[in-house]
Amino acid sequence: MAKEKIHAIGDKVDYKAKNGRMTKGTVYAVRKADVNGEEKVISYLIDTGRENPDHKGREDRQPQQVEVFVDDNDAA
Amino acid sequence: MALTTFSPNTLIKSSEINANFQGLADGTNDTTNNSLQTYRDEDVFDHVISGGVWSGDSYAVNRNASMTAIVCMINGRRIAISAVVARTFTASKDTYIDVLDNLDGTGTLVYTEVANNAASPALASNSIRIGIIVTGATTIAAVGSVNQGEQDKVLPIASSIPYQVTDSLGNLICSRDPQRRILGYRQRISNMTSIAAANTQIPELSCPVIVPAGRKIRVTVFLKNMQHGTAVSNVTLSIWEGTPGSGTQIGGSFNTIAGSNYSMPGHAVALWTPSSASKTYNGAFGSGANGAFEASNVFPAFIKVELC
Repeated sequence: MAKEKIHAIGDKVDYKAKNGRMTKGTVYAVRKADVNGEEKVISYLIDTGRENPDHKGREDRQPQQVEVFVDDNDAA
Repeated sequence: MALTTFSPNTLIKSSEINANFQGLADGTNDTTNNSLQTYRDEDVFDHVISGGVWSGDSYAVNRNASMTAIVCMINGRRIAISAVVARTFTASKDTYIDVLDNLDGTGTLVYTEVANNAASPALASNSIRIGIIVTGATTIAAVGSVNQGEQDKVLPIASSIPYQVTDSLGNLICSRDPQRRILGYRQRISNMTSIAAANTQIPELSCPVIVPAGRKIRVTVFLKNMQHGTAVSNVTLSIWEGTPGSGTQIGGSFNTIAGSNYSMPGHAVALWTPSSASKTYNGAFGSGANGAFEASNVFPAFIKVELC
């Protein structure tokens, strides 16, 4: 993500992972887990604006969610 | 030590028993046929074996909740995680709690936060979903704010559909069944009236499921009573894969109601093999005018998807 951390759901992001892949969208979900005895953010789910391909056509739109891991954020 | 082939009535020395059977249970002799983990991975669905019960520490007072120690099965591995005491949940979020198999016999609790009543976050690989905790600005409001897959939960709720048994993506919440006999369920506990068109979606009876590859399912839609406001008219109850009317109808039933003072139970069942894993099944009511049914928490209208 362009040299800034994602802090909250709803943030617009442009995330660059270690493999160079870019993910644009909005932070949809924040994932946390215990890392060495301390709970930390481990990844974010990014709503790319597209519909979840497994749930196309539903009235209750299911967003496509791309998971990006904090460790992959070289640019941050 | 060379292995021995035994015959009936042969006395076997303990050392020979060990030599012949050592490694049988963990599969070191033959990982394909003898591995217990392989058997469980291939034949048993991931599930919670025991524990893992979440509850608010002080409902309507704070945002703390605790969990009893959990034992679960993921990828055929038995995973035990200690109890959680007084975890403070983030304000105004739905926090999805998953167990992640670390692939080494240990597991990690993963907490995924989304906005209240948002569509469910994706379930990561090698994980099972064990609960959803709904917070307000300052508190976990009530026992209803802790969803562990009960059939009558009312939160989270999106498009008038509470997440009961599964989340909005069809992931089972805290499945304790190694055979995964129920894949999904949704219910409605209030009357519905003035149904005046064919294939009218019963809003709450929209059930997302994830079906294991190649398996058949049985879908049931049940209404306590189907009514009609005019004399001698027909009503239909139908089951759809996808949106009623434009999706694929897979089952239904038909009743002729004698008049406004009469009613008949609605019961439709279908056996079906989905073409792909993620599907949504819907219940629909059809009536020319003034169609209605009753429902309450004692006799809910429901749709249920079972694995066959």
